[in-house]
Amino acid sequence: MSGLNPVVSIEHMIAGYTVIFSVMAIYLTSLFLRWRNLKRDLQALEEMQEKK
Amino acid sequence: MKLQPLALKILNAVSAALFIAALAMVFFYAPLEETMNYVQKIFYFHIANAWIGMLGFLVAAVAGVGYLRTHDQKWDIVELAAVEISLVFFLITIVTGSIWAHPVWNTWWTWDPRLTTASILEMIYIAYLLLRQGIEDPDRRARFGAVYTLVGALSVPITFLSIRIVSRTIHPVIIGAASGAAKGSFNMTPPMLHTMFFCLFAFSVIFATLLWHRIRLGELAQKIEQLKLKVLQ
Repeated sequence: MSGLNPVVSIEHMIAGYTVIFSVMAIYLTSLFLRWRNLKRDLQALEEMQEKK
Repeated sequence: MKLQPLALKILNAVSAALFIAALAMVFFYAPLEETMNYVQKIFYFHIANAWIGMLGFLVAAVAGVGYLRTHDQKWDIVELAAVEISLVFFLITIVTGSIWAHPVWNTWWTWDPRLTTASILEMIYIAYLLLRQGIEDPDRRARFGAVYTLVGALSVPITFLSIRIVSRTIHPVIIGAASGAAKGSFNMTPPMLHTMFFCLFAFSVIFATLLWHRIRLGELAQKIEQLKLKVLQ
């Protein structure tokens, strides 16, 4: 295989790392949001239990 | 649910530092490969993501065995956490592999044994998540999950060995002999090897950190489910 065009090569490298960072960021955000929502649910349930 | 334990906070910081160090090694320590040049730098994270993907599916199978032996729901939480994280990492592996393949193989996708088995592996575990949601009884769901992940784990060695068993694959083999049809193989120099192993180590620590966070999330969800039943009674 002859050497790749450096411009094409660098574009694909950027695309690859963009995917890596984006998917990881989305997953970390989803973990954070799910945790926050569950905490709210827990608080609401505890308040309901106290009222009971 | 308590605040993050100190060990987890330390693990967070170590994971972040290792991730930055891995990136630094990829871009400033590993040399540019002569033929593929820049796009070859995807390889280090591609391999590390694949490793974590497969490791997680195996961890899920071990958790499945744990559940079948003890019937403790904690194992089910570990199993689900491992599968979810592995799905994310394995998705990255498939997509980055495709991006690397485009300039090197002149195609985004080909039904090569590795690509096919990797896609099947990902779909097996997507199906696991979907099927789990259809079972309401926690014990039945956990039993189903345990058996499913045990059987599903068989696809991990099949995916790993596919390019070593099938002779007509174009997927390069990094460790071991590549097929004559392989496109995109390269000789690893010592700095490339150091970078690859460092990335594998860094991602293993990141996996452990994420697994801990996801288990805590699962435990919190379980606590809420129990509390809901209590309040409704």
